[in-house]
Parts: sequence; C-alpha cells; structure tokens
Amino acid sequence: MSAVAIKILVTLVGNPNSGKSTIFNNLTGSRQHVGNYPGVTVEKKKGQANYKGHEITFVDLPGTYSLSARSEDERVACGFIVAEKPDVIIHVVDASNLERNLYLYTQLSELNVPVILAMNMSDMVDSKGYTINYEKLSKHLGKPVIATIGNKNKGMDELFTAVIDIYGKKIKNEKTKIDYGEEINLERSKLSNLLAKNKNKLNGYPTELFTLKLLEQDPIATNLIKNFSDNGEIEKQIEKSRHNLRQHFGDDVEVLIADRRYGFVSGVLRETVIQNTEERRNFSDKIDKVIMNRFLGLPIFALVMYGIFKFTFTFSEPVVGWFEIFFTWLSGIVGSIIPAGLIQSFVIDGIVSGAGSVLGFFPLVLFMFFAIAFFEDSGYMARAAFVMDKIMHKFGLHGKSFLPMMISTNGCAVPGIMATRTLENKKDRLITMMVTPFMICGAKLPIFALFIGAFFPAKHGANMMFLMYALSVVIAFSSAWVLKTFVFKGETSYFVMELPPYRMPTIQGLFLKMWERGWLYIKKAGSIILLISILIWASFTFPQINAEKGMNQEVISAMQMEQSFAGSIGKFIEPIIKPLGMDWRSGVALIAGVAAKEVVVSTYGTIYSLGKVDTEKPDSLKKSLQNDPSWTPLKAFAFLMFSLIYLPCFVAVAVFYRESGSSWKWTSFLIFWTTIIAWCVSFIVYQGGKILGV
Amino acid sequence: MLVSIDGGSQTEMRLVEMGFLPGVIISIVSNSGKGPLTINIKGSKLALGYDLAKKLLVKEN
Repeated sequence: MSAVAIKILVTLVGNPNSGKSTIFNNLTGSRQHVGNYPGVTVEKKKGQANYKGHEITFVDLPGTYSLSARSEDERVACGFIVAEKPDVIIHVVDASNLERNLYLYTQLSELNVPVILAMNMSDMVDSKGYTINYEKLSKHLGKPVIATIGNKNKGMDELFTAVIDIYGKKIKNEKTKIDYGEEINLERSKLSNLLAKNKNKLNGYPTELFTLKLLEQDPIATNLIKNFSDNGEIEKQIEKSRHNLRQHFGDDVEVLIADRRYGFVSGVLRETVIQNTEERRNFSDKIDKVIMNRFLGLPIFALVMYGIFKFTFTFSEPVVGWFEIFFTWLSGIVGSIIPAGLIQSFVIDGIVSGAGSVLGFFPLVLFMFFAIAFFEDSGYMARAAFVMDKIMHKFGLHGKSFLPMMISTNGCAVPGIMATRTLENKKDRLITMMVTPFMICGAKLPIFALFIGAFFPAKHGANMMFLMYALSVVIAFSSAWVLKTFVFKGETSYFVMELPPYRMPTIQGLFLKMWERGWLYIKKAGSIILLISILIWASFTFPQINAEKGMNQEVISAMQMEQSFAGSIGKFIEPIIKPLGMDWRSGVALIAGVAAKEVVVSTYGTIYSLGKVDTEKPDSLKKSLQNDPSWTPLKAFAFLMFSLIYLPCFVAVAVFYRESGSSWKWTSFLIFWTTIIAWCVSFIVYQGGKILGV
Repeated sequence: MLVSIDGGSQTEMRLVEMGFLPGVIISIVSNSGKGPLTINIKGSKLALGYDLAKKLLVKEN
C-alpha cells in the first residue's frame, strides 16, 4: 500500500512586479508569462508540485498592494485568499523595495493563515546599498523568511521545506501583533461585539481583520454587512466610530490605520536592515532622465518601436523567403504526385496554400516576439506608459491604459483585454477594452507582412509597418476620445504606477519567451487555422458547377469560385465593400477573418491557388497578388486599413463579452462601432486616394 | 514632505496604501511640466499623473 500524499494548498501573494510568477514557474515547472512591468498576472493560475511525499497545489495570484480590493485584478487576489482559505501563504517580497512590500504583510498576518516570506530579488539588495538580516527579520515577524532569486531559481528548495514544515507545524507560526493604538482598538471592539451574532456571515474573514476593514470602508466588507438583519446597527456604529476617530486625531481612519501599519514596518526595518551607503540609484535614474525627458521621451519611444520593426523585417526577410520557396516547392511536388482532381485540390489549395501561407510568416512573428520580449523584460514598458500618459490624457485616457494596448501589440488582444483589469475606474476600463483590439496583434501581423511585402518595395517594409502601427495608435486614441466625449462621460481616474528597476534581459529568457509565443502561433496554424482553411476550401469548391465542353480551364475555375457557396456570400456583400476598392474575394477573406485574423491570409492563399490552373508551376501567394492586375497599392492600403480596424476576432469578442460583465449592450456596440469606423476610414483612404490620383 | 492628500476617498486610499502618508519624504526625480512626474517614495520609483500630483499638498524641506 502506498502512502497517501499529503495535500497542501499554497498561495503566492505579493505586490505587483515582485516576481511571483517567476517563483510560481520555478516551483511548479510551468511557464506562466512573466515580464518586468506591473500587472502581468491578472487571473489566478494553478500549478502542481510533488515534494517529498507532499502534493502541493500552488496558486499564483495577481499582484496587490493591499487586501482591500480596488481593481478587478485585486478583487481576484483578495477573494481567493479569503474564500479559499489556503493552508499556507507564500508572501513574495521584492527585497529591494521592502517597506512598501511589507505593508501587505501587515494585512496578511491578520488572516490566521501561516505565512512564509520569500525575499525575492535578494541579489538586487546590494545594489541598493543595504543589507538585510534575514534571521532577525524572521524573529521579529515570527515567520520563516527565505532569501530567493526568482530568475536564477535560487531558494526554491528552502521554500518547499518551509511550506512542509510550517504545514506540519514543525515551525511555529507566531502571530504578528500590530498595535493600532487604544482609540482604534476601542472602536474595533464595539464593532466586533455587534458582529458576534453574524460571525458565520463574514465570508471567512477573521473578526479582528473585519473590524479594521469596516473602519477603512473597504468596498467588499461594506457590501457584506448590507445583508445583515440588524437594521443598520453596524453601519451606524461605523459612522460613529469614524467620526470619533476623526475628532480625536484630525485625520481619516484609513490614513490612521495605514500609518500604524507603516509604523510597524519601519520599526521592524530599523532593527533588521543596515544601510551601508547612500542608495546607488544613479544608474537607473540617469537612464530615466533621458528616456522620460519631456522632449526626448516620445521620439525615443517612436525610435524604439521603429527599431523593433526594422529588426523584425530586416532579419526575417530572407528566412520568410526560404519558407516561401519551400511551400511553393511543396505545392509543386504534391501536384506531380497526386493526380488532378478533388483530392489534389484539397491538399494544394486547402492545406498547403491555406494554412501553409500562415505558417510561412512564422519567422517574421518569431523575430517580432524576440524584439518585444527584450522590450518587456528590460523594464522599458512601464516607462513607455509614462511617456504616453501626457498625450493619452488629451484623449481621455491615461498612461496605465497603454499597457493593455502594448500587450495586444506584443501578441494578442485577448490578454490585452484581460490586462485592463488593472484599471480601477470602470469607464476607463471599458474604453480601454474597446480600443485595445485596434492594435496590430500577432495574428494581424501576417496580413500586413503579406500586403506590404507584395505592394511596397522591400526597403520600405519596416517604414510601412511603422506607419501602420502609428495609425493603429492614432485610431485607438481618437476613438477613445470619441467614446470619452460622447459615451462614457466623466472624470478620468488618476495615474499612479510603479516604475520597476531596469534589468538586463537574459538571452535564455528572451529565447524562451520568443519560443513560447512562437509555438502558440504554430499550434494555432496547425489546428484552428488549418480547420478553417479546409472549411474555406470546401465552401469555394462546392456546390460544383457543370462545365461546358470546350471552355477554358481558367474560366471554369473562376466560374466555380464565383458560384460556390463562399462566392455567393462574397458576391452578396460586394456592393457594400465596392466603394472601398474591394471585390467579393476580399469580402470572403474578411468575413472568414473574424474566426481568426490569420485566416484572411490563408483565405487568399486558397483563392489564388484555386484560380491557378497549372498545378505543376505554382506561385507564392505574394507573387500571385503582384500578378493580379485588379490590385493597386492604394487598394491594398485601403484593405489593410479595413483589416486593421474592423471587428476583432471571435475569441476577442467573447473575452470582451465576459470582461464587460456579460454585457450584450457593449459587446454589440463593439462589433458595430469597429466595423463602421473600418468602413469609413477605408472609404476615405480609397476615394481620397483616387481623387488625389495615387 | 507630504502634508495631506486632497482627493476622492478611492484615490486617497490607493495612495495611502502605496505609502503616501502625512510626514513622508517624497523626492522628485523628473518633472515634465504639465505631464506626469516621477518621484521616489519609500525607496521605490513611481510615475504620477499631473492631475494626481496636483492633489498632493507638500512642504519643502
């Protein structure tokens, strides 16, 4: 009989950007996304680890400054800790930023759950010019304190041991007593007397902590007591208590309580931290002076973005070329092996030209992800948000809204929409969610790469991409302004954000990140995109028409496409998109693209492959586009503008629906809003361009 | 040195949690006119929107 493993539930809690996810990844061997900016994790993540006969479940929570939930990501964190009652909490502390980080500890210690402190980034402490006496700190707090270095995987064994020991009660979990002073404690005891009857309704909060939360007017706690059947007795007492304390101290209660907590922290730090030298902040400050300079900040940001595109296009171009040659060769081989007919068409037009055309851009996407990973890990992301704050203010947003938009550019609008959870104000959040999908995500990138590559000279590739990126920002900002002015009127909330220290990204870390995101791209191309490509192929191939004898092969295949299922849909909507310089084929590609934006490319792949009669001599999609006389650079540009703006892919819409609080109203608004703007902008571009004679 | 915060209770609480308490020393790292500024407070660097900075009542020392 094998011994039954002991199950332990452990939660990782800590301030934003303290490195929880890195530690979580180390402990569980999983690969959650990490980055050097606040708000990377907005949802709880679960992972398992087995250690010496213990089955440990780790839950990684979004970063939080306190246990009073003020934004959606913090609500996730606090809700979990209080409701799920983990066996052990690992409090991940940024050791180079102790004071603020330990503020959260003062609240965690009141939860009646054993806490372990992981002093993360302990290698950064030196550069800050002080030494921490971990032993003394542990004694003062009555909790195990472990020095860790997340990105070097140091201290993990010690963490496991501490978890098991504290769970098995081998280490004592002493209570930390924070002295709130006689006056506050008196008011608390009044409240706890009133709460005694409703103890089981506190949702798992210890009464002691709950009284503090009531005094602080914590939104969750205040909501909870509304359901008590005490005729508002508690509410009245809170009012009285708050009044008493304000009378006595001349300050708000929340300030008083925070003051006591910070007082406790600085008391502990006085005993345990030795300041060696004046803080050596020079390096980071010097860089910031330039990067965030009021005149240089924006040009530098533009230059960084341009650099990313230049890097991506310059280095990926030859590799994308090889992929092109490979897929053309593959089509040729298939064409000579499989006899002409439905099966051949299925493989060449459906699979190789469809999903294959998306795979062809894999190198480009990989280079882009690499460049952006550098940008993310270095700590520049938060600075970019800072630099953008001033401009974004003019459009009714603030710097923090910029991070979700960057996350969308870095990969996908779905995590971008999720990242808006860090915004405290509901209206700001909805606006940011509405404009985040305008950014050029990893799935839209192939569309741009394809059309830019086909219709604009190669040396302007990066310039065109940069222009498109800039346009996406302009469109996002202007529509934010419209929404703010006409739909979501009201004050913009305030912008306050921590600026993490600069860190040199490790080559290993960059490659890992690049590969993870790249692998997702391949997986998507091999599953969803492949499936849709086949569907698209089928809808162009059926119903089959009866060709008359003596007709030209090319005429037959053109007729087949036009009269097929997809063709009739395209023809049906053609009148709507004609003024934008698009024909029915673009209509089909755009409709199919709603499933996933890469499909726009794969649909064109199938269309041009089906239209090509001589299967022995296939062309690459890029060449086919160039050889098609119905395209002009202006039409391509108008088409790109439409693709940039029109409604987000299905998954993004679904996530938007969920994150907007299951609001049909806002979801349908998003769908119409984006499509209408897309039509208008394309119309102006195309008709305007024609008048100007472009 | 920070004297007091003049803001809505939500804003104020967030700042208080981040260590903006009366008597705390704040040093300005960069100031860009009407744009956001960067400050050092309690050993960490923060970006602060212009509108928010206006709500902070400080005393020079």
